[in-house]
Order: sequence, then C-alpha cells, then structure tokens
Amino acid sequence: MSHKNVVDSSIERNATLSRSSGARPSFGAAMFFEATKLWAVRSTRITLASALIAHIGLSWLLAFSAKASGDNGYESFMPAPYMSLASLQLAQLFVAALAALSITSEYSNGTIFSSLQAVPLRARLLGAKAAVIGILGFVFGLLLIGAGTLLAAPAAGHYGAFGADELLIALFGGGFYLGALSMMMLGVGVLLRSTAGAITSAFVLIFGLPQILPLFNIQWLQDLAFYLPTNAGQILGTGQTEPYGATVAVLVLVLWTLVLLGSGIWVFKRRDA
Amino acid sequence: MIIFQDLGKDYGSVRAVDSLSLSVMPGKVTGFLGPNGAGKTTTMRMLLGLDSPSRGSATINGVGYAQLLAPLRTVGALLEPRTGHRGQRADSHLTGLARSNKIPVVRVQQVLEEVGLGDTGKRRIGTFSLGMRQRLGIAAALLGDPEILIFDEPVNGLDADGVAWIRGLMRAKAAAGATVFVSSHLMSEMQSTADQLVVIGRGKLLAHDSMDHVLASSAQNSVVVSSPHIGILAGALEKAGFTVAMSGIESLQVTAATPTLVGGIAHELGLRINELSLQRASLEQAYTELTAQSLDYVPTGIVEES
Repeated sequence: MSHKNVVDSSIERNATLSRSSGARPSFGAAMFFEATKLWAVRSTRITLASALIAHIGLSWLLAFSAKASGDNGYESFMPAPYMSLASLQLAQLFVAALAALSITSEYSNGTIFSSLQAVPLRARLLGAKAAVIGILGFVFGLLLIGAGTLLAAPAAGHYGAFGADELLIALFGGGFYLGALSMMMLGVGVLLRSTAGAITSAFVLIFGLPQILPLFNIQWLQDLAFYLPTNAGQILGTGQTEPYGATVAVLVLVLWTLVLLGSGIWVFKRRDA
Repeated sequence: MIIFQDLGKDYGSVRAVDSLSLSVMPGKVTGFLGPNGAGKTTTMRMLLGLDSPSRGSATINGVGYAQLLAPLRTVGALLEPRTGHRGQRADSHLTGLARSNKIPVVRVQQVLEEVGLGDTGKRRIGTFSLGMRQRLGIAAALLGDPEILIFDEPVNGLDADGVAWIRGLMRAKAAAGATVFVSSHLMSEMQSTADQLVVIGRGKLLAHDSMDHVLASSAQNSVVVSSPHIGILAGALEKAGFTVAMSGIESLQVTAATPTLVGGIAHELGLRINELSLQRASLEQAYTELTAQSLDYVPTGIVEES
C-alpha cells in the first residue's frame, strides 16, 4: 500500500471541490444533520419499537379490562382513543429517554465536539436538534395513539365506542404532548449532560410530582399539580374542560417547553463544551 | 491564516493560557509543542470555539470560528480521537457531517479511501481500534477539503505505518498551500514534519520560530573532532574557552562550537585531523532547553508560598 499515491490523488481532487462555492448551510442542513445522527443509531429504532410494543400492549390491556368490567356490570365506558391516550403513561418514558439521550450521549461519547465543529452556532445546533426531536415526538405520538386505538377498539367492543372528534382530539393531543415532552427532556439533557440524571428527572416530572403534589394539604400545591405537563397532556388529549380547556393546556405545555428548552439553550450558549 | 491575539484562559485561579499572540501561516506545517498541561489543547479548543477565551481572541481568516459560513469547508480539525456514536456506522457519521455543511456526500467514500478505511465504511464505530478511530477523525477533518488543518496529537494510537502516512499527509497539504497547525509531545515526530515551531510552557509562548532557527540556536550544537594528537588539541581548545569531552579514544566532543573554529585551531597547531563534523542538536534537546527555561516562569503565587 502506497500512502504517497493516496495523498497525491487527494491533492488533485482539490480542484473538484471548490472552497468558496456551494450554498451556505441553512437551519435545514443542521436539521438534516441531527436527523442523520438520530436515525443512524440502532438504539433509536430499538427504543421506538419498544415504545410501540409497550403502548399497543397497554392499550389492548386497558380495552380488555374495560370490556371485562363492563360485562360484569361496572361503569367502564371510555372511548378507545382515550384508552390509547392513557397508555402514553408508559410509552412517554421511552420517548423522554430518547430525547434526553440525543444530547447526553453526545457528551458521553465525545460526538458533541464534532457536532459543534460542524455547526458552531450553539442555538442553531440545539434548535435543529429540538426541531427534529419535537417533530419525531409529534409524529410518533400520532402513530402511537392511532395504533393503540386500532387495537383497543375491537377489544373493548361497545365499551370503547368513539366518534371522529374523539379520535382527532386524542391523536393531536397525544402528538402535541409527546412533541413538547421531547423538547422539554432535550432541555433537561443539555442542562444535566448526564443520561442518568436526565432520566431520573423525567421520572420525577412525569410520575413523581403528579403523585406528590396532591398529598400536600396546601391548596395551591394541589392546584399546581394540574399544571404539570402530564396533566396538561391528559386534558388536551381527552378534550376535558375542567379545570381548564385545550387552549390553556396548549399554553401550559408551551410554557414548560420554553422554560426547560430555553434554559438549556441559554446555558449551552454560555458553557464551554 | 490563524491569528491569536493576547489569548488567555483562566480556570478559576489557574492561568491555563496566558497572553498568547502569534500567527500561523499558510503553506507550512506549524508544530505546536509543550509539556502536558502547557495549554495546547485549551488553545486549540478556543480556536475552534469550543471554549470561550477569558481574554483576547483566536481568529481564522479574520473571524471567530462560529462566524465561518461553512466551518468544515474552511477548517478541518481532529481534537478527540473518540468521536462518533459507537453504534453509528463510520460512513453515516461522515454523511451527517457532510450534510451539515452542504458538502457533496460523494466526499464520504473519497475521504474514507484517503485515510485507508475505504472498505470499513459500513462498520460500526464501536468496532474500530484506536488507530482506526484516529483515521476516521482525520477523514472527518478532510471531508470539506479545508484550507486549514488543526490536529491535536494526531499520531496517538497510530502504528509506524500510520505515523509515516500522517506525516506525508501534512507535508502534502502544506505543500498544496494549506495551513497545518499540529500539536504533539513527540519532539522527534515534529522534527521530521514541521517547518515552524510554536513552543509553549505554562500557558506562555516560549518560542515561535522556524525549525532551522530553533535547532541552530541550541547550545547543544557541538563539533566532533578526531585526531591522533587528541591531548594537544584538547588543551588548545580549552585554552580557547571551549568545553570539551572525550567521546572516543581519539575523538573529542566540543560543545557550542562550529567546525570552522575547531578546524582553525587545529590548523594553527599543524595537527592532523581525521574527522571533523557538526553534531546538530535534536529537537528533543532544543525543546528541553526551552522548557527548562520555562521553569523560570514560576507563577508568583507559588513562589510566595514556598
């Protein structure tokens, strides 16, 4: 093997790739980069597949249980799309972990350095990642709610009867919630730079606080629980009007996202990589 | 062109880089030397916008790294040998980088072949040896065919063949007009690669000169002379103020001398000379002298404490 020839041929190629020509990379190029990194890793596909299996399994189980209870005379009616939405309790953990890992794994394996060399504008790099993760969360949310409904509806029979409006509310509510949650967890991942820390935070935010806050005998703490992302997602995805409606639910989720992702970007811009 | 202007970086009370000012010119390989902890990597990280300077600036073609329109098409850098997700394929890692800077994706296979990884593109990065990951990092640096190459310890993990290859690569890129800025702690490696030398110690610039000047100015340059009348010659040289040492039965090593001076003295005495040669200092020796001087730059805080 001759190294000299390899080097010589590379010099000749300099002519073919002009330095000054070519388009200025856009935000879209940065998104393309983030999507490539995310999709190229096997663990992304495994995580999403696991989430899908867990979700349709739980949806089916809820439907089966509703039918069994109903047949025994208990009040168990729930539109099948809302059964699917309730099953997000489980699947959202996979999505939250995936979102946090998309940045914490870059810190643990050193990829963050090549990412910042390619896209040195920090807000652009993280913004592109948030966009990709957010879109993935939204689309995957649609897929989960749809697939869960598809399995839950026949299993629940008339105890899961639903109309088009209920399906649409669950689809877009669930999608919006998962998209927002993904961006929140990306923000947490940037702030903590540690996979274990980010996933622990996800547990606290998704399971811990909604359980703990109502235990306090203090009214405003109990009220605060309604404004946690999980509860806002529940309200948005099931068309509830109490204690607040869809518009407020969207605002609550947007606010959580702005605070967590925004502080992540703020810190990321100022911190040494 | 790379310009450092009064560049400084503090970590708490530790001054990692202290008022570094210099330019790195195109068409040359500039070696960046210094002991461990001298501030080489910190300097390179500031140059690439990874760390922000506490003072001063590091610019590339007049702007900070983050202001470059398509950084990978201007600067190729190898900083960390362990880059890329272990579960990601080598070609996909490079494809992502290419897309981020609108570099034609055909370059991916080209650079993989250029670094000798042509048939391993489909393998996951986690299966690579340290040397292969180093080559992959170099492939990433070459992807945008940049005019500036910045390598931090590029020979780490490479075998002898790989070391020779990267030396050839750096020489060829510089000959083609590129700016090559390369750090190393392997002095012998720099001696056969670099045209220019930048030496730092404790974050301060100790020397910035051409390789030839650094070597010529070393006090370790010496002359070896051999003669059947070695005793007489030694006495005359010592009288003339040279430091001499026996280096064989009939030969002497004369420190800080030139062949002309030693030959002149022998000629005046009419002594027969069998050998007269200049022993150039190795970069290793010149570097040791420079960094030994840097011990004089002990931070005042420590002096006061001791």
